[in-house]
Amino acid sequence: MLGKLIKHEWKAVGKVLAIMHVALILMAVIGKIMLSIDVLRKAWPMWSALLLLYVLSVIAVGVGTHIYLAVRFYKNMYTDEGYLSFTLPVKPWEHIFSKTLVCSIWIFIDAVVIVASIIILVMYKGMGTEFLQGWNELIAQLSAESMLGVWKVMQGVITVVLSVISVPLTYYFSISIGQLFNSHKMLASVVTFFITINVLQVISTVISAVFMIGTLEAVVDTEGLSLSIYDGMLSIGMVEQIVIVIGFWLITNYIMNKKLNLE
Amino acid sequence: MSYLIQSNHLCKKFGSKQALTDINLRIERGRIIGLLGPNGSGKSTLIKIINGLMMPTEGDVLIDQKKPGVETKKIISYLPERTYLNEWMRVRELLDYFGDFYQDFHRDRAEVMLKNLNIHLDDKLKTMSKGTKEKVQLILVMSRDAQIYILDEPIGGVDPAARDYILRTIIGNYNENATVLLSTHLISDIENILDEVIFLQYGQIRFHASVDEIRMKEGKSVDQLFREVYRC
Repeated sequence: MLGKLIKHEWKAVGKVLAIMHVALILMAVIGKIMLSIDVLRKAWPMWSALLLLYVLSVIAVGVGTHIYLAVRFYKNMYTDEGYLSFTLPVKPWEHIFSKTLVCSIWIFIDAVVIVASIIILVMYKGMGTEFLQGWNELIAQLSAESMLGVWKVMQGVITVVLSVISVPLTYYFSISIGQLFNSHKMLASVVTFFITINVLQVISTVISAVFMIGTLEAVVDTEGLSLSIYDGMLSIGMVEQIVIVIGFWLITNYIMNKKLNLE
Repeated sequence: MSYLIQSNHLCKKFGSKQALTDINLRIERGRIIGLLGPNGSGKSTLIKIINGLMMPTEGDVLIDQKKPGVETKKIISYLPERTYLNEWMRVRELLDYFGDFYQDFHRDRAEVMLKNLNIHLDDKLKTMSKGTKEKVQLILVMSRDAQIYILDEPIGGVDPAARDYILRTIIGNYNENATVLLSTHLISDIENILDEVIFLQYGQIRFHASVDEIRMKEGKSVDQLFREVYRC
């Protein structure tokens, strides 16, 4: 059943999101072509207008993707459509899993497409080799300072993956908390969301600050200082993401299991 | 004896408002039961709790001796009083959807009914009238070989001709081991297909009796009785 849920979720959100992202790439390509025409490039009102349009499109696609996916969850679970979703013979966690997976993949695609469109726009001859050079230098430097290592790279990758996954779970958590209110559920969800991200930000800052102060006192030689801060922050970031993902998952699942009250 | 649907001291509160009070239901297999009552009497709340869409405040409900969950959802086919389908889907996609999730869904049966009502597989829900959407939904629900059909106001929004077709569909499609629980306030239209009636009032069961009993004992039709019980 989980596979089928994922399949239908993918189908349900895919069309709109694919159109949005293909459009963004097309815009970048058209922009690039226009910029390569000499006359146009020299007419600055022209290309500044173009640039503005492009920046607005990037924002629209980026923000739009997130809003679309959050609204999809809300509509599919807690409005009329929820009457079907919650009477399918599946467990609530399967809904959360399938939606988190599909949403995370799209958030990843969204980021990749936005970066790709920027690269297309600013592309020039020899950019590839320059990039490779820079990349190699970076790697060399990081290795020299022993900031790389199998475990550290893995930690980094895990943290990034978890922080992507935590995005939809933050939406689902906020929307589900909103359902616990007797009225103004939508407003309650939005307020919950903003309170949540701010509280998380404060907690994360406090933890980092406490850690920094502790490290500064403990480490005597400046040689190892930056490295131990780097190591510590990496671990803290990963643990924070693990806690966020598990916490939001459990609370959302609890609300769907025990507190469901479709109007 | 085990009942198909059984509730014990079921209560539901919304804030301070008591929506259901001490509901003790016993429903057997093979019956067509009318769940009757004026607006706000608790019909939809009771139905939602049976379907696991709402949690009771107190008491519980057992479907085939199980609490609402994956196993009970497999055997209940539920028609809510609202459109629960995604507006952007085509009829064909809806058939795929139901076929994927409900093992008891008979696609061929659905296609025949859709054809009889002149609804095309490539039609999008968005372009349909409210009545047509309700028909599509009812067809989907009645194309399952469920053990319990719970139909919340299935005939409220459609024209009388379609109403007849729908009622024939309901009677024609359910097997003798299945039970149909049907909520409505259009009693005269369905009176002659019912085996039992449950009258709800102010969130309580006013009475639960077989239609024959009402006719024999009270010498009245269900419709007459309803009007008496709920006289304003």
